[in-house]
Amino acid sequence: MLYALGTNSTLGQEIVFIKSSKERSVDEVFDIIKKQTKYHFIYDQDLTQKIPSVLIERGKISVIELVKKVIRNTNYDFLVSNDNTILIKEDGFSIAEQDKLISGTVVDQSGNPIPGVTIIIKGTRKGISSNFDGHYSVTVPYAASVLVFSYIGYRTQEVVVGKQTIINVILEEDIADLDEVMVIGYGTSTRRELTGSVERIGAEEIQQQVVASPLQSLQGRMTGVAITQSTGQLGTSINVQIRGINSIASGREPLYIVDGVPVTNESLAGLYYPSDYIATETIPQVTSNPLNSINPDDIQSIEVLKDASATAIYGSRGSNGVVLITTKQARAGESRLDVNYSTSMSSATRITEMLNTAQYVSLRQETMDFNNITPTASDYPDLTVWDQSVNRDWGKYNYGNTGLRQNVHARLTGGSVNTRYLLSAGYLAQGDITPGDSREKRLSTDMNIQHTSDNERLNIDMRVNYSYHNLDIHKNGNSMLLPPHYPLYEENGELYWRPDAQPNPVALLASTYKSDTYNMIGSVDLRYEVLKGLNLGGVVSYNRQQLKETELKPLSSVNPFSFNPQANSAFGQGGIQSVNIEPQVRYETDINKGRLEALLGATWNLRSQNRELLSFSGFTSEALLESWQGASSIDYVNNTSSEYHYQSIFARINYNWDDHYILDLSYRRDGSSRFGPDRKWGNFGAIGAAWLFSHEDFIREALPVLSFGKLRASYGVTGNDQIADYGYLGLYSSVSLAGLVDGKTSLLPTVLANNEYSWESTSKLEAGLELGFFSERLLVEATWFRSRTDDQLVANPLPIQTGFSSFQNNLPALVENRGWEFELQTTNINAHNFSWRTSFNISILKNELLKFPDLESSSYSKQYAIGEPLDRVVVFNLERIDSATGEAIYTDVNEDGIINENDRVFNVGRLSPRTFGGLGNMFRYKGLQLEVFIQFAQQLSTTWRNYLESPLLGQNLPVYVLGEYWTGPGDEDATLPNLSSENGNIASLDWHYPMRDSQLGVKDVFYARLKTVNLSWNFPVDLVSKIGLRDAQLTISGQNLLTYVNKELGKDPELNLWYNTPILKTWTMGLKLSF
Amino acid sequence: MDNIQLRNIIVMLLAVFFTASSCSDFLEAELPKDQITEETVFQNAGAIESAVRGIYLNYGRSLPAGATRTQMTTALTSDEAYGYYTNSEYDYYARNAYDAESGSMISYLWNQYQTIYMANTIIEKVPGSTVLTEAVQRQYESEARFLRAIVYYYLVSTYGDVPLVLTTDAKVNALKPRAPKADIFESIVNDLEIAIDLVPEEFVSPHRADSKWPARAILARVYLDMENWIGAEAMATTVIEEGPFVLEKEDLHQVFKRGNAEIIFAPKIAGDTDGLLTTYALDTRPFFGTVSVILRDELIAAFEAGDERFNNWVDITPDGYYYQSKYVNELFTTPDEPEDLIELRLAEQFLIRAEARARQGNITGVNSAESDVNTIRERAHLGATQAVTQAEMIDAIMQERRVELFFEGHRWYDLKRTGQIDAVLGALKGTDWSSYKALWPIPLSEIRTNPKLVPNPGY
Repeated sequence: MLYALGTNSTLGQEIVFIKSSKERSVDEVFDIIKKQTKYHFIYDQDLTQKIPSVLIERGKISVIELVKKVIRNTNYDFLVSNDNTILIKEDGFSIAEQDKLISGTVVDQSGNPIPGVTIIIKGTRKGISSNFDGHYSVTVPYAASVLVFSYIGYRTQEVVVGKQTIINVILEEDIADLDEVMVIGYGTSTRRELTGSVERIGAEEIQQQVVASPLQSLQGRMTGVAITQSTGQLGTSINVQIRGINSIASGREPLYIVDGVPVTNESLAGLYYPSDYIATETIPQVTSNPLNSINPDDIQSIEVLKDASATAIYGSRGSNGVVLITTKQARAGESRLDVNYSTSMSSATRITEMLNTAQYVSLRQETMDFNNITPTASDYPDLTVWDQSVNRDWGKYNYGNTGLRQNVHARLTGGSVNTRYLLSAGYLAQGDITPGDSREKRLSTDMNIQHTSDNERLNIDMRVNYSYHNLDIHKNGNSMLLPPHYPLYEENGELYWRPDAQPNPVALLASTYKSDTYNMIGSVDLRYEVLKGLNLGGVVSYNRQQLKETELKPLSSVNPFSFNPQANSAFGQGGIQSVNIEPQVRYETDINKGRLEALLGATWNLRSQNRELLSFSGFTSEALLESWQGASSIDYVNNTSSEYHYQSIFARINYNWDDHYILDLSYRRDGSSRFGPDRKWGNFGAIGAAWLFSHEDFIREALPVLSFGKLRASYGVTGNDQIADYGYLGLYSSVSLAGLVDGKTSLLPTVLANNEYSWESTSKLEAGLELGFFSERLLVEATWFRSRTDDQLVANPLPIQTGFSSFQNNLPALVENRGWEFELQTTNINAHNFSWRTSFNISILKNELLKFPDLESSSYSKQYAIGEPLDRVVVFNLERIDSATGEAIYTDVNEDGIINENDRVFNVGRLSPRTFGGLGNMFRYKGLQLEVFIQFAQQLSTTWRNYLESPLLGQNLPVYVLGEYWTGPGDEDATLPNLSSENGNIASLDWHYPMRDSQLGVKDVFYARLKTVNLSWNFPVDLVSKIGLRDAQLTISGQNLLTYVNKELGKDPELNLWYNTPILKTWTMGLKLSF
Repeated sequence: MDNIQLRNIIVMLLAVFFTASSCSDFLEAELPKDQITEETVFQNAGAIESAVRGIYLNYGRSLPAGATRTQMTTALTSDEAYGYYTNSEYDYYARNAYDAESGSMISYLWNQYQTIYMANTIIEKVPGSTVLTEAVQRQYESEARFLRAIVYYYLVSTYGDVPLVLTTDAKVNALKPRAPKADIFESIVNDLEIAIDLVPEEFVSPHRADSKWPARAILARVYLDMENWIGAEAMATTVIEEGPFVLEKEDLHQVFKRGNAEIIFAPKIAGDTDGLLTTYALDTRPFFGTVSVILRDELIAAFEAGDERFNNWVDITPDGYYYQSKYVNELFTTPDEPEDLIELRLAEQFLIRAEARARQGNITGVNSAESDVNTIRERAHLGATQAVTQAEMIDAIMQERRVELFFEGHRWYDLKRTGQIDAVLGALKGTDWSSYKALWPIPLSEIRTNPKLVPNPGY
């Protein structure tokens, strides 16, 4: 309903107060009214230009009088509606035109219709969305109504209806949007307004990569965030390091928050291998990483918070950075169904080439000759018994398969503007490149319901994510190391075994590891606007992870020559349960020309964890391996539980003065159950400031090409309590089966009580410069940071005469991380049908141990050194291969005549990437889109020499050893010693050990990887709409396609050891349909 | 909304947030299921009993090495055995190639300070306990003192002067310097006297030191070390004549079996994942045909012809390496005749008394050194000793100790005690031997963490 104004109307009679007499523009007057009353305005955007400023005198004045004053002597009039809207209209528009029907089509820059665009009448909650053809029609109440067109990935547009009845809109693609919403701790911001350092990756970038864990998709795309993966094994864990290692001994993990719910990334897996585990058999390094259970298709964005200003609101948990994962949100509009199917093929990037039978046999024969050994059938069957015409490529056998992956995901979203919903379900099945039928499966469901009351005061956001993750893998016997003619079977068809420990890879396949992980994350976020600008609310969330694991080792997989060949099975179970309650108060108001946002919140977090492990042997029947009753003996039992309580209060004040100056203050006081009674609490906080100098008139005039310029700086203190629970208490642990005394269990003191220690703290300092040129077609960002971690939580060494070798304590050791981060985004071409954008980032990180009192006497003396990085690698120094004797000559540092661990002191660098980044190019031609992303890093990598065994041992060796062994007196070129089993002064049975840990075992390399190539084609809308679709997209993409390494390693640069499961290369084909 | 409502809201909010930043009860996390606090342990009779058993476990278990491991390591450092594999840990022991940085090789025994800590805790907390009867309090204190004494005996005999730690305060104990040997011995004797005093005569089993006998037996040995011949003779006599122990005469193979009447103290520590007597099972007996720790020819030569001990306690591989056969159980087999590693047995008491008597001049005749030596020789099916002079008798006793007690952790200390170590090992090991090696080095890690510890000379 709309009312024309009469003098006796009750509307518009509210009084506003004018503080000073001054000429004011329409905008300024409207602002005053908006601030002091509940009225808001609808008017043409260019109204300010059309109506001159008016002198408004100090004093009290009614809203109507004030509005009248402003538009006096103009051809504008105004109307006040009963929903407190004041509409400023040009005289010609009559009220009679109400309920006017507007229609039109929304297209993109290439002229393709965009379905599903949300069209809302500004100031109301009325909205519709465009149909398959991009067509819409909407009834507007009056001519001055404004239509707002918005669609993800496009710039939002507002159009004043005016006299038009047909409004066709071209939506422009969002390029490098400074105003894109970014999720930050307990709120949102934009890149323009941030005072801190936050990296964001959106749904599109995540989903065009085929990755097992959403964290992998960050690799190379964020400055300061080093993502490393040690092998390509199924379920392997991803290491995330944000701006280097801060801690000497406590946790180095960032804080993970999924939709506001803190989630631990700790693996619950913990199967213990009983004593008969054989050294050459690799245990699957499986970690059922809880984040793996989140479907990347459900993720809207991942934000990584790095500096003090961004992380201090998480106080004690922010030291190592914060990773915020936000799942997709419900969207209003017609119900929309998106179905996504993809299938992928994975294979090894690179398998280290091994000796073939002829090469192997000849090297072995030389070794025998050198050592004057006459091979016997029992000791050297490879030279005497095995069929030398057989040549099997064990690398290919082990890693040569193709892993197939199927992924289906469906999402339904829609609803009214008041109540919106999203439901999604996904299924993933991933095969492996190893023999056997190892696979990973994930079933995930996601639900989001949002409700907004009519008056917009109440907002409810409820999310539930439930997933099931299953890992079913076979043991990998590392057959890479088997001689190429190793016989798998005896002549009679039975499995071949030898008394030594080398396992038969076929037999090992019978040994399996299975894990089932159930993960539930649920949260309710409720907000209510009590007064204008004052919101009360909070988040209550619950997270439950449950893991069950089973490891079966049937007798057929056990070497019959081993000690006590027995079938064996082990069972593990673990759970984490976390409840998080966070009441919050938010207040927003305008003060002078600035906007103030304040937040006050509190946290109660309770997390409990438990784990049970059991292992059995003596099964009478292989069929009963999974039955506890089927076992005759219990080999190992263990159960643990722990509880972690955490409580805090936090506050943030953000003041933005006219988009010129922004100040951000945050504070948090945290209490943790991990510290003694008087040490539980710690205070953390940060100050951040930004100056948007491009908004200054003098800059605008002097540098018109500069469309955006921001200088920002922040400083603050965050903390870390990632240590074991209960460390401050004196504790006894029971020893059961492993140490019965007189047939009974006993108790041993395990922890020395220490009430004294408290939070580890990291002070972070940072400064950044952000520049945008030519309407942000070129964006540049440079950041310098330095963080220092003090009060390191370490195991303080004690002389054993106290009864303990260490106790938990704070050590005044100082670790510094510093570095530079650069980002560049350009829109090279943005034509009607063609666009080309480039992004580039690079981070240069330094890590240094600045101070460590009594390092020499501590248990860390070998690992760390002052002035060196924490992740340094120390090696033996191989001086030369003696040309006369063929002995490897290492530097005997302490000159004791023996080469042992004490001589391993040569620093060769850091294992984590120290310079890394990525280069992305995105091309779009009509409906065709191509993304090419290259990731690069400079780091230390192991070479094929690492874990090289002596040829005497009868394991196969990489082909690169050929020609490297010392051949005889006078051989100056050898890089490997003679073929003897002994080397003069080496204090170890295995003389190869210093060889593999010498400087030749690692190399400092630069590598660049063609990480992602993604080609997608959007079917023309007029085509798909005929078959009832809104949208259809076909995608072909490749992951890890090519790798360039500047030095030859004999293996992939990221892989930790040459014989482990290689990093995968994946080809994917996908189809996305929207209904 | 009026101002009063607003005020109420603000007051309410402040209350909530004040609670969040102050109330500490919430931060008391529930304790883990697999661990209990020291406070709880000493409020619970069953837990205290478990903690007492914990001392035995730490003392005797094979991983991470209890004091009992010394029986084998000193067989190597002395002249009883050598390592088959060159550059193996056993080879290092046999060549006395240890230094202050040899890590676990030498520090395993020093780490027995953990056992001392556990004993100290019991000695501090048990007397006056409200949850234990007086008799039980006395028993636990006695056991703790006995174990503390035996560990100190090993420490002082192996490293020389060592820190004397008799309390549990880590802050005080962290900087304790080495105490003179005499003080350590004084403390050992004191502990053993109290231990004897606290418990009854009645012998139940050799698995626990809950009667007077184990303390008496070790005290006899300690007196011998202290050259208190009268004390040693008296104590050994008490054990031999008043104790319930009987020498096994029928079948020498039975001496080392659980339940044999000769055993005075042999803690029963079973189920250790690497097996009961692992080090023996795995390394002192054939494993895939190879024995890692081999008896030296000199020891084999020391056996007289017809010695039943040689027939029962020594074995040989097909390729001619001798190995110990006192303990025969192997890893992963359920033994028909269980064994425990024996710390104290009656035969040693006869030899202690023989030596004490010989030193006092009581060489031959009834109740003399000769009669004790002959008791031992007799059961080995050997004829009477020919020794008549004191020097001859002491030599005869040393010879008897060598073949009777080989591999039981005596030889190394006997050589040191009698001052023969340089002569014997110098001749045997040549340049590998230096006299300073008679004392083991104090681990470097300890010297680093406790600046008051002075290294042993030579290291």
